[in-house]
Amino acid sequence: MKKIGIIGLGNPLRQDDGIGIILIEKLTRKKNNFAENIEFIDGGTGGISLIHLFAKFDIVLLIDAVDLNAKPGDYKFFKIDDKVCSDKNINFTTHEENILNVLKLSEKIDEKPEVYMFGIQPKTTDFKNKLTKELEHKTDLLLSKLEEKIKTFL
Amino acid sequence: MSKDLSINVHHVTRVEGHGNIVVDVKKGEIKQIQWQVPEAPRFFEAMLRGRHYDELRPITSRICGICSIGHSLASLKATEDALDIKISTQSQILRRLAINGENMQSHILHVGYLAVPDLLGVGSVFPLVGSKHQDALLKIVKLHRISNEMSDLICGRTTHPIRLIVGGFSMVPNKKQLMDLRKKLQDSIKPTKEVAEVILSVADKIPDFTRETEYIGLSSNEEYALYDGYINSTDTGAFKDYKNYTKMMQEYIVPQSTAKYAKHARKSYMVGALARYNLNSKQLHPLAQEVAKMFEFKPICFNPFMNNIAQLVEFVHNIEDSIIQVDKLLKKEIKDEKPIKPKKDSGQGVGVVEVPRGILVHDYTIKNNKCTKANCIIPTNQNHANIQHDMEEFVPQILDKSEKEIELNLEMLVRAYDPCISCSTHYLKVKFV
Repeated sequence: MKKIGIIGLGNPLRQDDGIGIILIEKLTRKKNNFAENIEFIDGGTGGISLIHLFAKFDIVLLIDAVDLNAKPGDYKFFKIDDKVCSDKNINFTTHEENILNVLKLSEKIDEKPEVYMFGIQPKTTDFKNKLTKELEHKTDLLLSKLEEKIKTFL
Repeated sequence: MSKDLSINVHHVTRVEGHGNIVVDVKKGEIKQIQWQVPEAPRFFEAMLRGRHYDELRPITSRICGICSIGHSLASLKATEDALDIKISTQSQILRRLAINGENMQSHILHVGYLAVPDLLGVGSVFPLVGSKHQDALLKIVKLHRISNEMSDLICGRTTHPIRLIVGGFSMVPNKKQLMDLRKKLQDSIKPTKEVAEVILSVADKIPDFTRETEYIGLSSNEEYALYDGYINSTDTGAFKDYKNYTKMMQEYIVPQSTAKYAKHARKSYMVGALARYNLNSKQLHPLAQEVAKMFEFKPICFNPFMNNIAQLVEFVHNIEDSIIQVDKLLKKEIKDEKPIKPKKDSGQGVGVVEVPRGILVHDYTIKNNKCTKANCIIPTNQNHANIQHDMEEFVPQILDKSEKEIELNLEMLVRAYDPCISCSTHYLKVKFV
């Protein structure tokens, strides 16, 4: 059975940047509703340490704030590969090391899982320890869409 | 020379936290050289007041995401000192493993991911993927992983330990886990030596800069001191009155920094791997001594850039020492022990440990099981003044270089100290006039 890691990324002290963490906390509380091969992880602000997490899984789903050039709270589910991540836009998440670099490194050690992203458009990532109203209103909807994706796709 | 120079690095990258370098030179005359720390104070000592002694360890662990094991151990030692708790021999061995694990995690991360790119002439580790140094990078990643796994096994988590509690451990690893760990440690010696060879091949890029200063750290008659020992100085020697640590670590404030500065016998001193090496190098295990020899690294070394090499040497020592500690546990058969209970409910205690960036002190006053007063002296605080004085002496020596080179050299100097700036920002008393 394939091992699946659902990893929330973000900094809850920077408003909508914390959406990945808020969603992973909610999913973790519901973990009994999912298959045993799925693990839910609060990945914090990620960085190079993600490489050790990636090594544990066959499939990884990252949940993070992503600049999609869309309305706050809009979301997109996509596979992270060279097609969506050209060198020009590799810094598409807000965190330290861009994910493509970490994935390249994983690939070299033969540990690269299939990686998908559930990206959510933030309104702002200024310093404040709560989501903007726009994202707060959409949290339940985003959670149900995520649950659906995890159950149907993974 | 009539050079004009204006450097404003805001903020230095590949360090933990935010620090700025400001250099202003007009017509060859140095107007300003400043190492600035602009981060917000964090008030951890105030947070501890009113808390039960059991809560002090988990709260102070959060001071740092890199030294959370070190803060936990300093906190436990201070609490146990205050409440007269003597932990078992098994717990002491496990705590030595925990501190080795953290030193390994932090040192390989700093040397491998943050400092080596400077020596290889790249901006981060990622350009090394696909380069001739890729193999070394992959080894560094694996060594980082074993360090994380060891911390996870001993402490229950890679960061922010949960098994370290007042009076001992809440859970201990079993025999099989310890045997597996031993094998992994043994297997990591060869790749570590290979990484050391790569660093040696570019060691000529380490700037040749020396400034005499004082080095302060723990020393012990029994071992290369990390978990336990007496405070020692290269200038003034042993200081065994640990409860009066403020005589050795005299903190003061400066306008350009939200972190305190510190001094002792001179205007500044240095703590960390280089300080420990300068004080205790004879007690390093044999392979660590061998690696030090490769770099012709001899105490006392006054080049702050050699802190990176001291970290590499300590990494090897930590592997060797961990194997020794695991063998002690396997020989006696590890067992579940109940944590030792306090003998009293009030007292004042001080815990001193060596963490990756240097000597760390926690000092608690506990009344009726609750903390009424706390003081923490953080390693990076103790290094800020030394960084400032190094810069003041280093800049005139490199003024003939290009602005870009000077900037890089100064960033490398800051990175050599491996500063953990967020931890060092502290409580400042502000007096409005």
